[in-house]
This record gives sequence, structure tokens and C-alpha cells, in this order.
Amino acid sequence: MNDDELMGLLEGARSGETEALTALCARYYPKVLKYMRYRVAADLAEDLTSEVFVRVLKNLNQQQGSFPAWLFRIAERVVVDDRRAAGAKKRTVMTAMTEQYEAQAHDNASVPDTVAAWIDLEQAIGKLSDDQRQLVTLKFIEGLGNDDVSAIMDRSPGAIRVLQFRALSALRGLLAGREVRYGT
Amino acid sequence: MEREQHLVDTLDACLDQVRGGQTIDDALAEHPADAEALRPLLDIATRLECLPDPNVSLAGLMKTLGRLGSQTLTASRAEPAPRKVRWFSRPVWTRAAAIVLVMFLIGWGTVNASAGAMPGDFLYPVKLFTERARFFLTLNTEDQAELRIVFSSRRLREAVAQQQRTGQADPQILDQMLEEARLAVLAAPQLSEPNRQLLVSRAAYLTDYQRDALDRFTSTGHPQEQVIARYRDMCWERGRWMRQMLAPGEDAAPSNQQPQAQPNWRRWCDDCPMW
Repeated sequence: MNDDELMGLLEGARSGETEALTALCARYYPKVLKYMRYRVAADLAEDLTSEVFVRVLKNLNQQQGSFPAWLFRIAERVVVDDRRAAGAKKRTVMTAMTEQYEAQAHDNASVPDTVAAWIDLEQAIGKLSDDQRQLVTLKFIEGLGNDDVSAIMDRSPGAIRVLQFRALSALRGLLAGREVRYGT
Repeated sequence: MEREQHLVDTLDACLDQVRGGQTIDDALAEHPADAEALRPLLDIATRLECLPDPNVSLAGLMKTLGRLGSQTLTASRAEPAPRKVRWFSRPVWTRAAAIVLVMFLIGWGTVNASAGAMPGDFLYPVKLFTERARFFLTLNTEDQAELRIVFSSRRLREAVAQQQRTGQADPQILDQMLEEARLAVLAAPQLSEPNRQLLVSRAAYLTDYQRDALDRFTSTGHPQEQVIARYRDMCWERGRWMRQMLAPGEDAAPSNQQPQAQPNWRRWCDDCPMW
């Protein structure tokens, strides 16, 4: 989707057009769900994704600037609110993704190494600090640029670059015992 | 510290280059002194970008869309918060009005839910009832004819859906399909000239479409091939009959005489092909 199409959808959604709102939701639902899968327990991901879109609808008239940055800021706020409501910081449990990978490995016997590498990587992401995991999710898994990541995490671009270096270095350390798969 | 900052900046530059389409080797070629430290990080970054998407459950997406729909509805009906008055303290007429409103909302919900009902569904009779009610509440002849065209089109869709679901299309539904289209065009003599031409051309188009749809059933070795072929042939006959009145000027009356359009159309109505 190019910028013009996105602007058209946003304008339509702001004026209450159901089709535009549905298209916007269908376009970004998988991205937000993916973000949630790496930020919260797997069984919460769908519910919190749903909550993100309800908040998007409520606040759409105030949206300015980069839409993905605004969207993921809301997503992160939903994550934080959920943790507060739960009364304690939850550990990220990404068992559902692991199960999905294992199922894919079962379906396709020719890619077990790749799938095993995904599982290792996912488990390593789960062991990162919260801000490192958020950066890895936004920058590499969601594919956002430094400007958007900087806006979402409310940090300077310089701080984002440092965090990125440390997150990748931490992952390297966590994957150190798996040289065959990663060549580290 | 300086070394780390140098690696931080070089890593970011290399990540941009890799994202721009360069290979890791190409990106590191400009930084040979840092290659050993950065290669594993770039490799991990590349693998992170290749992680597969999670499975999106349709139920989850539909649930979200449902929540958005409710939200939109709530927002559009946003009103000041009502005073907190105990329900049973209100006068009798207020309670009666509330009961009527609740019944209306339940009925309205059922009517809406029945809109997509198909033959055999629990709500299908509600759908037919709603259609009839809508028809009888429509006073304008032209609008009534339009409704009949819509109903005829729905009957075809229902017959196709039923055939796909059960392997059998109900001839009764096909009868209704033909009858609604016929009754629609029989209203033509009561309309003004441009409107009656428009109505008949729409009906003819629909009938041709219905004929083509039924033809597809018969060409695939359908068990009801002969029954459906009868309806297809009737559609063909009716389509031809409708097009007889669409030729320009055929119905024009001489200017110095009483307009002859009405009688011609009436005679044409009597010629409608029947079983």
C-alpha cells in the first residue's frame, strides 16, 4: 500500500466509512498481531490486538504524522496498560509461535534446520530485556525505520542505534551455543 | 567506549545498506576492520527479518471488526448520560414504551440477521416475511416493480446457494424467481415511457443473467438437468418476450391520435410466455 492509498483509507475511516475502516484493520491487523506475539503472552495477543484497533478508532481524529509509528505507540500503550492491570510485569511467553514453527517443520520435513533456528531465535528474543525486545520487534520483525522506532520508543535516534547494537550483541550471546545454525 | 560508539554507527550504516539490497559482504567491504565484530550481528538481523508471520485467525480478525462495528454504532448514538432514575419508579406509559422499544429492537435485530438467510435456515421465513412487508409498505408502482426485480435476483442466489449446499435446487424457488420478474414487468404499462423502457430492460438483463446461470447447472451433468433446463428455456423465452418491447419507436403513437402506447403494452403483457 502506498502513501496515497493509506491517506485515502485514513480519511475514509475518519469520516466513518465502514469499508475504509475494515480495509485499514485488515491491512494492519497481522502486523499488530505479530508485534503482540513478541510482546505479551501468546494467549493475550489476539485480545490486545483487538483492543489496539478499538483505541485506533477512538483516537483516529487525533492521528498525525507517520501512521505506523502512531499505531505501534498505541500498541505499546495497550501492552503497558495490560501489564499494569495484571499488577505485575509478565514474562513474555511465545509458546504459540514455537508450536506454529514446530507444526510447519512437521509439515515440511525439508526445512527442519530453518525451523529449529526460528525457535532458537524466538526463545532468545524472549530472554532479552524489555526495551531490547521492543526494539528488535519494531526494527527487525516489523521492519520499521529508525525514525519510526525512535518516535514509538520515545528515544533519540542515537539512543536507538546504541540499543540496537546491544540487542543484537545480546542475541549473539544467547545464540552462542548454536554456532552451527547461526555461524556466530 | 569510543570503539563501541564506532561499532554502533557502523552497524547502523551496514543495516541500512543491507536493507537497501546489498549483501552482508558488500556492506562490510567498506569496513574490513569491523567485519569480524559486525558480521554475526548483521547475520542475526537478517534472520530476524525472515521470521515468519504468525497465523492470523479469521475468528480473531472478525472479532476485532465486530468490536469496531459496535464502537462505531455506539459513537454515532452517543448521547448525554441519562439521569439515574430507577426503572420501576417511572410512570406506567414509560414502562410500556420501553417494552415496545425492546420488542422493536429484538424484531429489528432478527430482521437484520435474517437478511442473509437461505432456504432451510431458521430465519429464512423471517426474510420472506420482511420482503412481503416491505413490498406492501411500498406504495409507488415503480418502486414495487424495482423490489420485485430485487426479489427475483435474490431467489436465483438462493437457488444457487441451495444447490451448492445440498446438491438440489428447489423448483419452487425457481418458480418464484420467474414469477417476481414477470410481475415486475407487468407493472410497465402503468409507468411513463422512459421508466417503463428502463424497467423492462433491467428485467430483461436479469432474465438473461438467470438463463446463463441456470445454463451452467445444466452443462455440468447436474442431476436435475431436465428440470433446470425447463427453467432455463423459460428464461430464454421471457427474455425474448421482454426485448420485443425494447426496440426504439415500436411503441410510438402518431401525434394526431390518442396515444396508443398503453394498449400496445397491455397486449404485450398478455403475450407473456407461460408454462
